[in-house]
Amino acid sequence: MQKIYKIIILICVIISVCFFTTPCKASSNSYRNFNDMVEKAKELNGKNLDIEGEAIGEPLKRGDYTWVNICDGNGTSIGIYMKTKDAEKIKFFGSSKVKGDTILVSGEFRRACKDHGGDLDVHANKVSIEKAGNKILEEVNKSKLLYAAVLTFVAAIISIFCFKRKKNA
Amino acid sequence: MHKESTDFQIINYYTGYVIIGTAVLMIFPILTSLCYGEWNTILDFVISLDISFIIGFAMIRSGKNAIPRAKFEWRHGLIIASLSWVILMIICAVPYSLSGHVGSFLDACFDVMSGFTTTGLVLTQDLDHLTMGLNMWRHILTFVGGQGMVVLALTFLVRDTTGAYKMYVGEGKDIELVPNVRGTAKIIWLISIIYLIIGTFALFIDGIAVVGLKPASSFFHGLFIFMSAWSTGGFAPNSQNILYYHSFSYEVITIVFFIIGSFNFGLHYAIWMGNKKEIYKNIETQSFFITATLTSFMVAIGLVKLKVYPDAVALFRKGIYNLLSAHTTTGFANVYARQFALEWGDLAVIAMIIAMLIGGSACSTAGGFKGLRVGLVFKGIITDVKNLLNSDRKVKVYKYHYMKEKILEDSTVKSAAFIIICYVILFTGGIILGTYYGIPALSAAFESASVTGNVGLSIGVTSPSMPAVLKIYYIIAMYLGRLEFISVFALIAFTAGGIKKLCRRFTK
Repeated sequence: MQKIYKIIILICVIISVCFFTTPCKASSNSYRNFNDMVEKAKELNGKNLDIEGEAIGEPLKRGDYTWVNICDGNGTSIGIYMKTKDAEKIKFFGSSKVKGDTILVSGEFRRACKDHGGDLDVHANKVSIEKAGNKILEEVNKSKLLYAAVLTFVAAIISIFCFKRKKNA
Repeated sequence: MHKESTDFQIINYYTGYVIIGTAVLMIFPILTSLCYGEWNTILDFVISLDISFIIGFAMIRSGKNAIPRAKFEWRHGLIIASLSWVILMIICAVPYSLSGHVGSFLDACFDVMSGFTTTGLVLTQDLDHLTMGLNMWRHILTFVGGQGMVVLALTFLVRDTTGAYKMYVGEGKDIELVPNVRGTAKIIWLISIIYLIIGTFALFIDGIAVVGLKPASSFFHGLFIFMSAWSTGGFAPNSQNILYYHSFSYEVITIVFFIIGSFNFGLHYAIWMGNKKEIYKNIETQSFFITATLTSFMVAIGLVKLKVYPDAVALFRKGIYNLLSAHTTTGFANVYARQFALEWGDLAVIAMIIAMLIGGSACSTAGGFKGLRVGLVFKGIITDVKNLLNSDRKVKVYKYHYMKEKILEDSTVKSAAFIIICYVILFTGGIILGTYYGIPALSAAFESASVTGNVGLSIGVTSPSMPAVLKIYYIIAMYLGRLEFISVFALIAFTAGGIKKLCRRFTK
């Protein structure tokens, strides 16, 4: 009898370990790659999604609401239509010199939004800052500086040579 | 041998001037980057400018002695136009390559050729984090490419007008606004600069008042979008293209300027000189109106049948906007590339392909077969049918209106048909190559039409990961399409002839 109980407990432990160590599949409604959303646009139309991306450019205020475009880091960006007070939480917008805030948006995905002339967009219900952005400090590339100096010298010599010969001609 | 070296010297001399003239434009991105403190971008452009001056001055110096006694011929003009574009493609790719935003030098060359030819397809990565300086360069390339680098050099640098007309024609233009070709080049620039001021201002105001952009960024966005619209280039400073702005009014302003930009410079000049009736009488505007209406109907029927968009406003903003962008060969898009393939359906996609191939007006910034050629070929077919039905004793002269009344001759129709056939061959080659790489036929046809017609809309084929052979084919197709074949054929024949002579000398 004891043996049977031990076997049952062992089986329960094995099942529990398997269950808790299997990686969780991300919620099927959360997207980090916006290309997937475009590919599945018909299927996702009207559904609530969680999407995460870097705020880019600048907020485009339209009264009580604001457009914020967010980028997935793979070259695809999407427009988020959110309340202006939510947009004001975002401090950094991505550019060449700034890493924008990474925001998590929960909202309705629209394949061809009737309110916005058929745009593919997301109407946000909830916006939160996942990771704050920062300014990017640019270091001058010393090799480029050297190449630029040498080539400028060579170009100057050649142009002087050309103009001098032209004058003498 | 003496004649061959004279040919090389003439070609080198003028090509050098075209290179210097275009390279000087790098001052604009340098100044932009200075304002924004983009130090590495400044170094990228200084390096590129130096390389341009070294090559340009060396070429001018190598050819200078031959110029006083040289006889400038048609082949020189054609080869200068086509060769300068190839050398400039390589030189102007240097800032892209140094920026770190392209996967390879080939990708950089692709983007430069896309800019010069006012196509608008993009392989540059992470556009949303590009420096202002590099964005300025991208848009200047498309603005200058629309006018023509030879036109630029003729306007500002080349004092010697011998052969100037032959170089001008070599770049795919043949309209003479005034008897002197330098005068014509200056007028083309004057028209473009005046519209640049008006267009940038309109977009600047709308950008602040409606879109919600800040003043400084509204100015730069307005400038970039105008340069792209006028040159029917299609570049935009952000990855979402026109969709970034989420604005109907911004889209309407771009429609006005890209349609105007697709018109013949001769038409602009005629209207400025008070001849407003030209806009109705001109065979190209008539042809554009007919083909734009027909293809718009096709797109609308296709989209309505599949219930792609919820209402008429969305149908106009997405369907008609992208159709007009395709027909004028602009390439502005407010839908994602894959949406054409996944949502639009075959009828609407075929309408887009037809519109892209027909293209805009001759002697404008637009690409494609050109409305003039389409109009001439159709009129030629109609007159042939009429002649068959008429009595043999009846001789009728048919005319068409293109700036002035002209007689419709067989040779004119034949020339137009020849160029259309060349475009069709190029288009077909793109489909065959695309399908070889596993791209569905309709998508391959869409992308090939976009490339051949210098449009810039993508159905999702153009990407940094596409095969190198396809990238090279697209570069060649954009180049051939923009220069309208003849000057490139002349360059190939000249190069082949030179290589043949070298081989003969070597084997003797």
